[in-house]
Order: sequence, then C-alpha cells, then structure tokens
Amino acid sequence: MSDFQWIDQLYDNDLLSKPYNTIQKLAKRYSQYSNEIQRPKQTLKVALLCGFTSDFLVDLLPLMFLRHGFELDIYKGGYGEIVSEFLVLDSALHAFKPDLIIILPTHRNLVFSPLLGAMDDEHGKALQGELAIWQELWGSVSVPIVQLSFDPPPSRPLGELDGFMTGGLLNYVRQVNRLLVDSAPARVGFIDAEYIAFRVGLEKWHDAHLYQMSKQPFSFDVLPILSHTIAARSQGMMSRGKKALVLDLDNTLWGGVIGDDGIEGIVLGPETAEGEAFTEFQKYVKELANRGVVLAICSKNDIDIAMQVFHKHSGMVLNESDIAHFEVNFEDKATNIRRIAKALNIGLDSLVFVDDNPVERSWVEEQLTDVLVVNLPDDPADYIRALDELNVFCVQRITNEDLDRNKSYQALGEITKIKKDDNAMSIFLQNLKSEIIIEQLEDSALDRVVQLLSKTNQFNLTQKRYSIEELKDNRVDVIVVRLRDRTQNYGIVSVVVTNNNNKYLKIDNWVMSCRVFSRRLEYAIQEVLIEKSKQVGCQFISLNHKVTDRNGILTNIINDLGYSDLGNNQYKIDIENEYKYTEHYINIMKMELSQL
Amino acid sequence: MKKKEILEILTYVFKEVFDDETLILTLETTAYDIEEWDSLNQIKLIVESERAFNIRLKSRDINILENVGEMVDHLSRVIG
Repeated sequence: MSDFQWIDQLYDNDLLSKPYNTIQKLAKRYSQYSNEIQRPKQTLKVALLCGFTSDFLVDLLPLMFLRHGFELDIYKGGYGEIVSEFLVLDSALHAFKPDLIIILPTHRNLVFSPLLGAMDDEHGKALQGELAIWQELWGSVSVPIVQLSFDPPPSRPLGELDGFMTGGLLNYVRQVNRLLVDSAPARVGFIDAEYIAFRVGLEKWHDAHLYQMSKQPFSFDVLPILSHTIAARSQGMMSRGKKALVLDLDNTLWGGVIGDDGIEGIVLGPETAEGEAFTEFQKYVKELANRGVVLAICSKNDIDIAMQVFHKHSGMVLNESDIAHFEVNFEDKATNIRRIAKALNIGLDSLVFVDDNPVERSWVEEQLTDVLVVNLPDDPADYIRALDELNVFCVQRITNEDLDRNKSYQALGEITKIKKDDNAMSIFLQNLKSEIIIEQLEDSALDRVVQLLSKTNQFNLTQKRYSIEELKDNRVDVIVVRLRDRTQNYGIVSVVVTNNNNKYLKIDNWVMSCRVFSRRLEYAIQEVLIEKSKQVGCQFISLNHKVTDRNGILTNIINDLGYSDLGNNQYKIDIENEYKYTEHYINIMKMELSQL
Repeated sequence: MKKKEILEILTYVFKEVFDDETLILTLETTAYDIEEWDSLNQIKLIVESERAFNIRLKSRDINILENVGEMVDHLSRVIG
C-alpha cells in the first residue's frame, strides 16, 4: 500500500493546518499499518471518559499520541458514564488499570448550574457542590488525570451579562473552572476548553446539527486540535514534555546575517515590520523561558561577533543571562546539540530545535531522531504560531519558584505596576537582591558624574551644575553610587555632593537617575549619609531644595527621609533624634570608606 | 442538477468517507454492499454530503433511505 506518503506525514509539523479528512486518513493508515513504522518504546494505557460520543475523537488519538512518543492502549468509557465509572469500584475503568485517565466533560455535565435570580450564597454553594463531586472522583484514583475544563455554552440567555453575572451560565462555567483548577491536586492537568473554543470559533465548537445526529457536540474540524492538545497535555502529565529550546541566531532571532551585515545591518526592533516580527518572536521565547523552558543557542557564527548583538543591539529582548548554554562555532549542528544536551544534563528527547535553514533542520532531523525539529515557516511573523501550536512545553503547574524567577527578570516597568501593594513590592525588592557600591570620585567616573549632575531633571535637589575642576576641588566631597541587581548592572546611578562645616553636613546637590526610581535607593543612600555624618562628627544634615516644574517628586522624598522643612527652601535632619531607619532591601558595599 | 451529476458527486463523497479510490457506486448500492458503512460512517456521509452539495439534511429523512438511488432522489428534491 501507499496511495500517499503517509509515513512521511506522521510527524509533519504542519499537520494541524490540514483538513480533518486528511488527518483522519493518516490516522487510519497508522492503525492499519502500524507494523510498517518504528513503534514508540512506551505504551500508554489510557482510559477515556467523555460527556459526549467519543468515537470520532478516538479515531485520531492514536496518531496524536504517536506524535508525542506513545503507543496508545485505550479504554473508552460508556457515553455519559463519567461519574459511575469512577465510583463503582469494580467498573471496567478500574479493571483496566490505566496509566492515565482523560476526562472530557462539557457544560452539560455541570450539576448545580444556578437559575437566573440565584443569590450569591446559593451560587457559592453550587460551586462548592461541583467541586465536591470532582474531588471525590479525583480522590478515587491515584494516576495522573488530564481533564478538559467546562466549555462555554452555545447560547447566552443573559446576553452580554451572561459571562459576568451570578445566574449566567457562562459566568458559572468560568467560576467552576477556576475553582477546579485552583483546588485540584497536582496530578490533575487541565485543558482550557474556552481557549480551544475560541481558537476554532464558537460556530464550530457548537455544531447543534451534528450533536443532534451523533451526540458529538462539535464539528469534525475541532477534532485535530482537540486530540492534539489532549496528547500534548498527556505527555506533559507523564513528564515527557520538552524541557529546552535550542535556537539558531541569524534569520531566527534576528533578520540577516550578523557576520556579513554587521550590528547595524541586521533587522531587529520596532523600526521595521520585519524587525518587529523578530522582536515579537524573542518576546515569546522569553516568556517560555520565564515559565521554565531552558534556552540554548546553536549557531554557526563567530562567538564574539554574535555576542555583540546580545550586548549592544537595542532591539534584543533576550539577554545573555536568559540563555543557559551557547554553542556558537562552525561545527556541525548535530554535534553542537549533543553538547548542549550534555551541558544541560537532559536527554536529546527533551530538546526542541528551531532554525530557519531547512538544510540544517534536515541534518539535525537525520542525525538526532529524538530531537523535535520545528518546521519553521518562511515569514518570521509566523514563527510564534508555529512554535505555540506544537504546545510541546507542557508544564504541570507553574511553581512559585518559576514565578519568582520570572519577576526577577523584569525591570522597572514591573515595579511601577505592582507598586500599589506594599507587601508585593517588598517581596519583589528582596528578590531583586540589589546592591549599591559607594565610591569616592575616581577620574574614570568623572564624565559620567558630570553628565548625571547636568542632565538629571527629576531627582535633582538644586539644579546646581559643576565643572570637572569644581568636583575635583578639595572643598567638596563627592559620593558616587553604583547599582547592580540580579538582572543587570546599572552603573553610576546617583551622585551626592557634600561639604561639612561645624556640626552640619551640607548636601550641595544630590541627583539620581530616573531609571532606578521606586527602588528605595534614596533610603539606602540616606543611611550612607547618616553614617558619613557620624564619621566626620556632624550632628545634622542640611540641604537646600529648590522646587522646579520637574523635580516635584523630591518634596515627598525629603519628607519621607525625615528632614524638617525650615522654610526658605532649607531642610535639615537631626541624625540622633529625627532619623528613622527604613527597610530598603539593598546591600551597601563601601569602597575605601575611611576616605569618604 | 441532473441525477447523473448527483451520483458523480456522491461517488466522490463515498470515496472520501470510506477512503477507497476504487469504490464503485450505483443506484442499487446499499449499506450491505459496503463493509464499513456503519452508523458512524453514516454520520460522516451526511456531513460530507451537506458540504459537497451545500445543503442541510435531516438524519430522520436519510436513515429511512433503502439504497443510493433513493438517496439521489432525496438529494435531488432537497437541492431543487
């Protein structure tokens, strides 16, 4: 037999874009002639419990599981017998001894859907009632479960309010889903039915005509993506999901060839449409990294030239620190990918390889059959879709640890967002592990210090500017503050110019870069100033603050730092009696403190 | 649409559903003549015919048909 090249199509990345009939035929070939292909090593015993007729879905599942590395041994529960299969101890389900149970209910399986006019407490009871049923079912088995969340219903009697109001079924569906996902044990992995429904379109998700004929509620066109998603999620629950993404550089992370085009010549960033596509792709990859996917680079390039892009190109979203391992050289990619697997200490079957070059792809595909090679489309605008559709990086649950890591990778934008919640803010700042380095003025820093003093508008006490000569004059002390945290090194971000006479340490000017606002840096620097005052025998710190139309934020800051307003733009603090320490979560390192 | 044309399109639909390029459909063909013609494939036949002729069929009307000839007659009436 071979009326078409079915074996070649089994692992085709574009399979999901093919019509249902084509995929169904391929599934049929696989069931008829599975002895003609290399069979997966692992057989998975799967019990399928559906709230609808699952025959057409079952046709496709063996193919989709094959594509995820499993040969399928399937037990199909009776139509509409989800609950009884679980709870009757000698049911066929338990006798089958599955490795994994797949449960596909629909909104029709909701038991306590409240009627319109239900009060909030009835609504709450109904939600708890649904949860109690599922907890009972989940608790009656010990194997992993893949469960479809309840799907959005076909009609909305409450119109636009149906999804938002107590009494609306769509609202109820959403709330039950959230409750189940939040309450389920870790061995239950959910598939988001609402996402699949809006992906295929509601008119395909609900095919009333077909439902009436066959009790399959959705059109045949839904079956490929649904069966694929089930297999991908199952793979994740069986811990066989992919763990790392291996990326090429030229024409994959940016347009053009860095070795030929140079850093100015490559296409990346919002200036051009194509550059934007690469930026978006990098953002997507970064989000994968944030949720725990390990990134590696495999590129035929000169490492120094390639790294320039990471260090210097403003359009780069990915940082060097996002990448766990680089193999940038001119050796063949299969060899390099083996090295990557070794360096990351994971199997080749945990790797996904992304490269725009079809020659490299087929080489890797041939040499390393365990590596998943993504068939990248020609247009970079389609890169994200190609990768996202594969849905291979299945995580069971995103852990708190992942999220902490995620936070630490984000810079100031994130800080401003969560500023409203002080507690979250404190946690965030602690996670940043900021460190300031206090230096005296070195010649090498002169230019930057002069620049900061003259260009800073917002955090600038007096607007006073200094020439290099004035700064080097012995009559002033210049305190130079560098900042670094676990995400980056910011360099010199603040400068304080002081002099002291009698009991007063006088702040001549103080500037801080707006890049590092909202990080309590001012409290850390204040602590440094207090200490310095003590050292030089001053009891007060005084400053002069002239309000301009741009430095308004300083009024509050000066007040928060404990200074009293003496009128006439004059402020002072009594370091013994008025200063109160404020937690700033910044580690202070001092260089040659004695000379400060 | 002539009944001959309908039979031609229907033949194409049957070949798709039963995945058999060599299938020959006549007005006398019945469910007994095609091994895989079960209730599930019956549903596929209806859905694919609806798609091919751009019409809506009622399963109740289809399920009482005795052979392909009656199906062609029925389609002819629905298409008009």
